[in-house]
Amino acid sequence: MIFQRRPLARAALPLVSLLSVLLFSAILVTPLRAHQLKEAVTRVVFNPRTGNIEVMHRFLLHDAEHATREIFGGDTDILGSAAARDRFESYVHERFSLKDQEGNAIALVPVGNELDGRYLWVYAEAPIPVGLIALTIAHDALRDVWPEQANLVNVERDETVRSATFDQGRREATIRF
Amino acid sequence: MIRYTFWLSLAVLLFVSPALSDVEQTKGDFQDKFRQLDEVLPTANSYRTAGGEPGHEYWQQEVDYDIQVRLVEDRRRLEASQKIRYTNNSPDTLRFLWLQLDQNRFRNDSMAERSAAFADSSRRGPAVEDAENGRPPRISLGELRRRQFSADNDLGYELPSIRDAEGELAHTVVGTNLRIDLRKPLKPGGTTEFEIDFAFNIVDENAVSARAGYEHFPDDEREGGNDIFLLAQWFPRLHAYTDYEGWTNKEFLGRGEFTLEFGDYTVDITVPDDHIVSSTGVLQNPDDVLTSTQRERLESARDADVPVFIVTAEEALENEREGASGEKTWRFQADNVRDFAWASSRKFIWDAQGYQQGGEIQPEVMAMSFYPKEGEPLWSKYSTASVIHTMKVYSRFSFDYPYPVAQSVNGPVGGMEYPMITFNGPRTDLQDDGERTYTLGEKRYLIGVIIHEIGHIYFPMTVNSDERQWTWMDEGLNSFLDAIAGWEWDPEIPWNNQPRDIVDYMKSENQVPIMTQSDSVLRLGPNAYAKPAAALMILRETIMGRELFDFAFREYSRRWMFKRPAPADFFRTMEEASGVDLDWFWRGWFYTTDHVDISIDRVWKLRLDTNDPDIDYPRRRQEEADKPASVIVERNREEGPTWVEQNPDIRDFYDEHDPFTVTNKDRNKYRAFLADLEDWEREVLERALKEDENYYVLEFNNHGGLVMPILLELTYDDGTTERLDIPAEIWRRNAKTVKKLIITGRELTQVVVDPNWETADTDVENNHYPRRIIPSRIEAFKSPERQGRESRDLMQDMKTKLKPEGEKSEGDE
Repeated sequence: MIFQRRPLARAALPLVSLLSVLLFSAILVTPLRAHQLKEAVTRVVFNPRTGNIEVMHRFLLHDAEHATREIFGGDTDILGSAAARDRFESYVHERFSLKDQEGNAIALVPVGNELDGRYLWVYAEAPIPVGLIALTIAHDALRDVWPEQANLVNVERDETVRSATFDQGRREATIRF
Repeated sequence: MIRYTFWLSLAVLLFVSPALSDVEQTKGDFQDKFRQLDEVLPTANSYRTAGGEPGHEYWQQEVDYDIQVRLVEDRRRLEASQKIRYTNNSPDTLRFLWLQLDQNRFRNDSMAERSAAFADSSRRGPAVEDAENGRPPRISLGELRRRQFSADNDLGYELPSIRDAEGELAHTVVGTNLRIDLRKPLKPGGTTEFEIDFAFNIVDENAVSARAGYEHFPDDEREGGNDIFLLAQWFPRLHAYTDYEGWTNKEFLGRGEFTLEFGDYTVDITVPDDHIVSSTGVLQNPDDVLTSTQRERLESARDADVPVFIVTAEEALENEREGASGEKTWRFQADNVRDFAWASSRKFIWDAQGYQQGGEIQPEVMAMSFYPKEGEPLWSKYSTASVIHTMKVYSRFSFDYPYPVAQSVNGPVGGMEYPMITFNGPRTDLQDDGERTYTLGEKRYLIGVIIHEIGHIYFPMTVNSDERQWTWMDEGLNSFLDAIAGWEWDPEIPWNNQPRDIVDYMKSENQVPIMTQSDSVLRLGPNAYAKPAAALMILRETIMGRELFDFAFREYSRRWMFKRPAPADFFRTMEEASGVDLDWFWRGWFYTTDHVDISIDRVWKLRLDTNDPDIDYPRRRQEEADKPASVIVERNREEGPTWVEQNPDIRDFYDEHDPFTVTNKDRNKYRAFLADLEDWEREVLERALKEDENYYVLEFNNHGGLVMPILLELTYDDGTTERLDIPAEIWRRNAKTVKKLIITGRELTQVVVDPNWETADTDVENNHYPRRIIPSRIEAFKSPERQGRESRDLMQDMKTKLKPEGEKSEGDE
């Protein structure tokens, strides 16, 4: 079989119930199929040449296409419109964050996005903070659109790869160097 | 004596078996990546040979079904009665039979439901989110809808009667399993018959995320709207009884799919009389359920070049508006299938095209598609065409499509396969102007998912692997083939499953070996689909070559067509039929989580010494002269003449000769050396001196752990390049560092490992010697050249009107 995808909310409409359970709105539309890999991959690379932490998100184009139509409306054309891709890029940047060992946000600067074959890439970067010994990552992109989304993050520093997968069970992950 | 021997052999077995799998390197850190797999694979026997073939006593059970089922549309319920004929081809006597009750998974008290961890990413269904930073957990309205549906509907099987000719049979329901105790033990070769009455309420696929169910269309003109019903895992099905596991009655948890027995089915499906039914099998009573026009259209479709509408869009729309006036019974017959599924709706448009594949197995196959208007205009263009394309490609790699029909049905399921019938989800979008449109992505998805699901009719519907245990055996093989079929459909579409697509997953920490039982796999997509598919792609294109791979893969398909292969049978057949030892490959790719990262770190250039002082000494002198001059000497010279330069008249013998001056003593030594050589030694030396080749020693390191062939692109000073593939076996005695000697008449200027990205090497920066800076994606993206190209919105720019020549455009100043 192929996994199914069920697009959910376009934006969180949190309600607090008596049981202190938060609901987020879930508008079920015609079920859409997922690509067999419902997994975005993000590389967080410490680049000694530039002195930057480079964040490179790879989304399956088909995922991004359906997501943007859910989020921004049915006629959003991510393949044909650079503006639509830019909106998707902003959406991704809003849902990805890095913090240092003190919990201070590392200010990521959006770099851009590009199509490459079956993927849509989204880029951001920030100077490597002095004395960085831990990185706390959060990556929610597409997880508010369908539940099966899993975002794999590989942090690559000094030839070592450390990983975190963000799915329903994981909101934040801290990697210590 | 006999007794003694018996006990002795038993003791040997008991001790040897565990010991074999426990071979350990207990000194040093040597890892034998080429250790043969025999100690891991099950011991061959008369049912499965050591070559991966069904053995001379191979057996499998046969289960035949005769079912009468009624779709109660207004209550969205199935009511049925089935007669089962079970033939015991095993050498064992069976006292009970196990059946699958998949509908019980939806019960609130099912193990799947009770064992579902909150916020477990692997669970099918709507979203929930774990607590974070003091914020409580969240659940979605979709999840609430699922729970409300489960609370409001009695789900799971009702089993009012299980009986044989003599009366009710004792039985026990254990979750999604049903044990029926036989009145008499069923001996080898024996047959037993019994009947089961059953009913269940069909789930709303959109609410519970099943693999089947109904989808409601409230906006249709008919009062109350319409439904599409997809029925699968709908009848109590016999569990497989196998030579390797006995009863395969592992509880259905929702992920690991099914393994079933082959058998013949006759199924009477009673539905509202305006419904169109698509089903496993061949329609037996077209005169009762189809109009004469529909029958004529079906006949004309047999040799049509394009799909012929059996039910047109207009006729389907008309159907949608009206209600049924009664019921009709569609009778289907299916021979030698491992399952049976069907779909029913008054919304269906239906097209068909005969595929004349020739051969003896099934010369003619009717390819058909069923879809509502919500799938148009995409489906009529590409669905049936994709079905036929799939059969053409897959049959080349395996065997002729073995069944009389191949169907693609649109409904609420994203993609799911059954014998002769598949459910596929792509839809189109209704625009404000009333037109339905689709994106390029949705078109690619439709073609891709249909290829994938029709491909499953080969694997695992015909090559009947055990999905409950091993998802990769059908999904991995099928993903490999669906990519091949995709590339053959249109190479402009970026299809998946190339080695380069899997590198980030393979280098990540969050993964389990491919050889993991389905319900326990983390990240099923990359684990069971993409990684095995990429592995097979690498075997075919890089390690074995197309000829050997294709021969072995076809042999595996042939051997296990309509039989039940286990992983070892695949591993063994691919090796035996190709003559290529692949144990290292299966170990690395399927039994570990190693990744590929091979670097080239040093290159030594060597030249043969002639031992002839008149040749070697001048070379040494030149080597010395080629070294950079001393900084002290250079600077002194700039400051003024040295003592020697100031006193040119004072010279002696040593000013005329350096340490590289050749004397007759050296020459005599060389002559003595030549005289001492054997004849063959002298010949070899003379030839080598004459050819005067360059000798390069290349050092490679394995950082990822996976041993793989070292694919080299060698560039020479004359500008030419050469490909040199070093087999993976070079790592057999040292899996971490190896060196390789290359002899060439030319000067080597560059070495690149895996230049075409064939091996899923995770770090290509260390693949170059001399090293080169590989810009990161961000660096490359920021380069001025890329910015110019990638930032064009070609689709928008194409709309620009051409201005008259000479007219300045905005921004041109």
